[in-house]
Amino acid sequence: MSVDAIASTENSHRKPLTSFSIFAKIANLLSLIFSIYGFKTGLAGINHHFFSVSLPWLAPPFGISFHSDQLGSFFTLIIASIAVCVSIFNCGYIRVSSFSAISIATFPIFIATLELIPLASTVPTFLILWEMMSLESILLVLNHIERPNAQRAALLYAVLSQLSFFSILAFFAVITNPFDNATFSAIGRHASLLTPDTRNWAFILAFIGFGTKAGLVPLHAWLPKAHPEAPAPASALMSTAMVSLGIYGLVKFVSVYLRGGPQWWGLLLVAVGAISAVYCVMQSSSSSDLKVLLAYSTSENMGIIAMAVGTEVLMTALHQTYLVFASTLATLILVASHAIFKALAFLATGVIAHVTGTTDLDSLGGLAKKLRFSTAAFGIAAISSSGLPFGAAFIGEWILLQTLIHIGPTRGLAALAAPLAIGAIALTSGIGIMAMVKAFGIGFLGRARSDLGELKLENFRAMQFGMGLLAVGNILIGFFPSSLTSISANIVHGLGNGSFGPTTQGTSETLGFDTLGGIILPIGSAAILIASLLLTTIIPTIVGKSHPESRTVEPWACGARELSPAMQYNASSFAEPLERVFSDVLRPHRDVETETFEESRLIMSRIQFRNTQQDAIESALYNRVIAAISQTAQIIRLFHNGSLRRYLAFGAVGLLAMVVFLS
Amino acid sequence: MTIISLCAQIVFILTGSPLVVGLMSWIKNRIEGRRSADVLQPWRETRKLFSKQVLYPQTAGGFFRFAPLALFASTLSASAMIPLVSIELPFSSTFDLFWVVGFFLLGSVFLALGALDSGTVFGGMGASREMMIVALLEPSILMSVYALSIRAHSSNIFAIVRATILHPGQIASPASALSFAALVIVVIAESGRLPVDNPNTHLELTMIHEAMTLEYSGYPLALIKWASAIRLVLLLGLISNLFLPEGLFDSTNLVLLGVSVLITGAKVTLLASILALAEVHMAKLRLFRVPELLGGSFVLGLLSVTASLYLPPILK
Amino acid sequence: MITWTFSPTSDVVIPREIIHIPAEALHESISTQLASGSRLALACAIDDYDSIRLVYVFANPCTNRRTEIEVSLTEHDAKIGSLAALSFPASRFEREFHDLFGIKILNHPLPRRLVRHGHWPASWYPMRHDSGNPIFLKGNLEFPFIPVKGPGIYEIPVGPIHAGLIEPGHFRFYAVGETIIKLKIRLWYLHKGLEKLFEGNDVFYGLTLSEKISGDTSVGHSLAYALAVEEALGITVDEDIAMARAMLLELERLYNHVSDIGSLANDVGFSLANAQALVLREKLLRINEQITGHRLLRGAISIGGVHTLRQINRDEMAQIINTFSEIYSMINENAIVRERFTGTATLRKDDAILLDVLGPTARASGISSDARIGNPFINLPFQTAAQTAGDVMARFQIRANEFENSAQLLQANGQVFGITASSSSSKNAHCKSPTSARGIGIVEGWRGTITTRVEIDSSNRLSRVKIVDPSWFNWPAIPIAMSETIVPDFPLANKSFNLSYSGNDL
Repeated sequence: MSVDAIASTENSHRKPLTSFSIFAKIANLLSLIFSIYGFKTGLAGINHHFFSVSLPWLAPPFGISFHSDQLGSFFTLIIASIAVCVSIFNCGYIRVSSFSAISIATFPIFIATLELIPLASTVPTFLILWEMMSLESILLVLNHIERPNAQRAALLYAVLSQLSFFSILAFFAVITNPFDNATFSAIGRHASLLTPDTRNWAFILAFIGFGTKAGLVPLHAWLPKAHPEAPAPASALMSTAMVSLGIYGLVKFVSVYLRGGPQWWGLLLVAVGAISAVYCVMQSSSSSDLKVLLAYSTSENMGIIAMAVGTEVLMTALHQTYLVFASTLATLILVASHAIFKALAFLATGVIAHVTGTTDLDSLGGLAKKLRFSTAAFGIAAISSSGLPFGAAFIGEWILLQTLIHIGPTRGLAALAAPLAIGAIALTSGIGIMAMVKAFGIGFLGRARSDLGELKLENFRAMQFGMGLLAVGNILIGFFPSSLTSISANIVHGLGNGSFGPTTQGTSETLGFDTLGGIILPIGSAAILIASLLLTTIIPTIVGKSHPESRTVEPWACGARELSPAMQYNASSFAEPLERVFSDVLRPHRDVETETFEESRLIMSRIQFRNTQQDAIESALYNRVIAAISQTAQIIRLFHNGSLRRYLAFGAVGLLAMVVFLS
Repeated sequence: MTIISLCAQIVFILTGSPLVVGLMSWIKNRIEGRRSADVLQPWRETRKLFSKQVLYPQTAGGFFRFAPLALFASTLSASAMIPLVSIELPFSSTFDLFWVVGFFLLGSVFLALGALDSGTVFGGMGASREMMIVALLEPSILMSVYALSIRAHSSNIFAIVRATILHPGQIASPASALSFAALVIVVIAESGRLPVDNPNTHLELTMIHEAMTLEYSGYPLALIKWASAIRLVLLLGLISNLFLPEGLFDSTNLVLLGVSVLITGAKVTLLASILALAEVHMAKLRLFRVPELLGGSFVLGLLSVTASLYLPPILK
Repeated sequence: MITWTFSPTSDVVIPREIIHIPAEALHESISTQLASGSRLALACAIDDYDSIRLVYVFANPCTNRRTEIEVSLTEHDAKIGSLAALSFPASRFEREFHDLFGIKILNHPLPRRLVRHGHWPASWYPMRHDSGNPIFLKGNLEFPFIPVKGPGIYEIPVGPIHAGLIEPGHFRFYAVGETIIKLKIRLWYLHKGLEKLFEGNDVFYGLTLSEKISGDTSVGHSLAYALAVEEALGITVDEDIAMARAMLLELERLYNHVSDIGSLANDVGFSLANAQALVLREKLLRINEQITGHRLLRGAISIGGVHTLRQINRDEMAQIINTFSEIYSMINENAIVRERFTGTATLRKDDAILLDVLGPTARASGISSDARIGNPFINLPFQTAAQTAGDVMARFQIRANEFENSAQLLQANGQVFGITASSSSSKNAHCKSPTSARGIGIVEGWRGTITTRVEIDSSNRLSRVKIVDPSWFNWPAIPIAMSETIVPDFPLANKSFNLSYSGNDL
């Protein structure tokens, strides 16, 4: 258990003041109101009842204006669905966890900002909200401002958010017609008039800006650091809603407004997506901290989604209309399913962190016997995320795979794209399964790996309800994927302006494309599975004679007696074989230090093992950048003393730059 | 009528799979110069285990008890989704190869979780090794599926098999040979045979699949053993019908169904015998050489895909 | 200092010396011995009622000289300074002194229990004359290992009960995933008080007992015992008896090496080769039975004599050599097997020297340790196999090489069997010394050098017998060789050493 984790346990014992709890209740109420309203707006939006508000008096000189479309409403709907569940969960969680006053106040605003971003219809609105989102999430990361880890994470996050922000700013600078208004529809009109060079620059800027927010390699490093630092409901939102907005940006601006481009755009997206997916899933499987594991898994999923977006761009370039449809569908489904299972996983992890005071898998274990509900919730999230049948992630990945296998012979680099992309997806899902078996099997099953003391169980109702809603959502998507696919297909049709032709999406629970020759019917297979399960339970009575009642005995455990907590496989060990296989990528650094007596080097007095797992990309790339940044920070520190203000200063610089640019 | 085909297939797999395992060990024993138990021995052992008292370790949780049932049920489900003795099965148009492969994975995942829930070192050790192999095998499986689907323009197993029946000449292509080779490695690794895993060892520290089952006894153990036998037969049957679908009929005639059962039985027996013969001369690879073998399988799959896309079959 | 020579047979001369020294001079005396190239072959304590005597036996592989260094300690306050800095084996003998005799070891770097398990009552020292019957403590009492610290380390406890027919021993791996950080081995589950069982019995009973020290080394242990008794009683044997004994030793080597080779193949999943090796082993066991009347060669050695029923003919040995070379090439030419053997569990030469390992293990690490050449009881042109790599492959090759050498020796000298003879001098041999007679027997068993030391009192009863099986020296080598090896390779590594539990635990 790390020192930080101990600190958080102690903090959670602190009884909040009464006025504080009223304040928290108000914040909760606001979160609920915002998320329910967002849900309503999103739902209306995908049914063509668009949300439209214009507030020219706000934030002069450019004003704030919203006019949603189907795509934006779809994202708002996803974000709001998650936000509803998270807000309900938070009603219980806020009272037992160590939210700081700033975090409590920020939380509802953060929800509102996330929901509003996809509805923005002008560049200034979008930029202001985007920057607000970054600042709010930095505040949430700094919930435990006293922790050095939180400070480092916030610094890194602030730097990369600003990189993202400036790229997006530059992107708009490139793409906007200076003589037209700054609405998105004007951008759409203007984009087709740009020269290929300008379009290429615009693509690269959008790719960096939105890719960073989505946590794509090599700009992913903030994600596994920042997400674990925020309180569980906030990390649930950041890891689902906020990263999805990165994807939203890519879809909206690259696919919709730029209307695709040359093949290399798609290839770049597929390649970066594939590298992100494979690299981050490896990191995820080798993390021993549950939150870090989940955060890397987020980057991994974003990688796969980036591959879907890339496939879409590539297919647009190759004029394979039906595959454009399929890959866009895959993108939307992947975003939605990822949001729903990852939110559940983060919330369950929040419960674990609250109850046990740690998220270190090496000291967890055996939670299934005590925390049945959270175990079930995490189990559902784990199965859903690992791309197994009946899991929410399966559907999107399957559609993407179907798209890829139907690309057929192409020329040039694109010929390699499909096989390598399938290989990357396969490797990702294989290792992803391992990561989730590890997270669930080590964290929740078996025996406890350390004495966690008496587990605190309080205020569980609201938390259970929030997780329960998400769990139901996961099961629904897994067994009845058409609930999601038909909505998504509608959106995609709207994007294509009918160019995709009729689809087979309908009332049936079959999912698939007749033109692609692939159909799956989860509910049919579920029937087979249930029948098999029934058969399995009666087989023993058919085949065997009657046997005595079962007995509980000491384990065989290969002849050992009195198993200590250490005599169980742990998280570091579970992934070690894989770390060895991919040691070139993961660069595990291990060191055994033995002290021997001077009398004889064969007699040891102490054996110390060290294991430092580093993100290879991070240590290679970032340390230099960070060094440069901290020099800049030195200058800023001349003006500000408080450390919180130092990080916020980056945000202020961003806002200033935006004002300069817009005026 | 498809329900009759399904029943025939399930009965065929349930009864036949222990016999195949018995046959393989009979062949190995005879070649090694031992007197061997006959092919019915696995059946006797299954019956024995089903009649024994079940012992559960006190360190284990509820998942430990559930895992064998889930493993067996998911394996059984997979056997209802593969054209083994018939291509006329219920829901056959929805049995995508990616989906069916997922059922195999589901079984592995449940067993691994059950093993982790045993609360002992060896369960976790086996689970970790098994999951490493699963993770690295996944690319070769998907690549082979991809290669196969190109021919049929679909990844539906039944469509692939039908396409091969319709155009038998297409099978004589470099792509098929490559994907066959890739799949053979997949079959060996998935079914835990030499050189990847040694099902006959008693050395716990070297085990992969067996390490996960160390704490099981009685009928749960029987279910696990039976499930791995079924898995072996499914994989052998699948590989034989994907590349040599002769003997499968596009009809629900009962006589033809009987003929299919016999022919598939013969094909599986033949493949199992070849596997056993090869195993005799094989040793177990060092654990960290296994990924190289699986990597080789992936490369074969990749070559097969490239060949399918860009090289025409030899016979049209 | 007493020096004399002893000739077990007419052409072998063994220089002997006994040096009595005060406890303070022990350190210097022992370092002199080690510097002269002698190895510490055995160390034992003897409870002489009013005092405790420590005897360190050194054997010189160049001169065949055997030196005993004796120290007397007071019975009540027996203590001695540790020699751990001089010799690693000495440090383990010292721990045994402490556990069995209650001798305090001063400045020992690792003053932990070695033989005593948790349930032994404190201050019960079984080898003392006045130890009495213990009341063993109940339950699985604490006997912790030195902890290995670090993130993500888990422990694999294996044994003492194992699957399969192997002896009890507890292996504790501290590992991260498949990487072994540290392996610790706990033995002495088979402690039978064997040395105490000898005491007070006559030398013939002792012979029967010594055949059962380690079931697979009946000839080795009984011969070492017989040689020791013969030296104590001044019995010399004829050339043909010594020759027959030497060949019995090779016969024992044959069946054990072939089953080791088969097991090595089996441990990497190559059961075909193991089946063939087992067939060959069975052939050899049947030959054993025809020659000695017992499949494991029991009853073949007697004090001053040998008992064999028929000769080995050249053809049957030729057939065995042929079969073996087929099995050998089957294993040696299998690429996967070679890959598994090569580089696994390497015991470096410098470690092997410090540990003073014996037998095939030593010869595989580039040490020329062979008592048939260094400390012989008969002069024969033995060929010693040699390898330098120190890995499983080297130990496999050593065994194969030795099998061939032994089989060829037997082929050439098979006619020495068929005799049942005993030395004329053994008929009325008895202890000539008024106090006690002492003797040392050194034999190169198939596992390595066995050293047995006996003391016989004036009434011709055994007063102290100390046996050192090569496993005693070799067990500590396994954890050291495992340092670069992964968990699933441990059974193979362990098999390549194939040490005796029973011979070690005594």
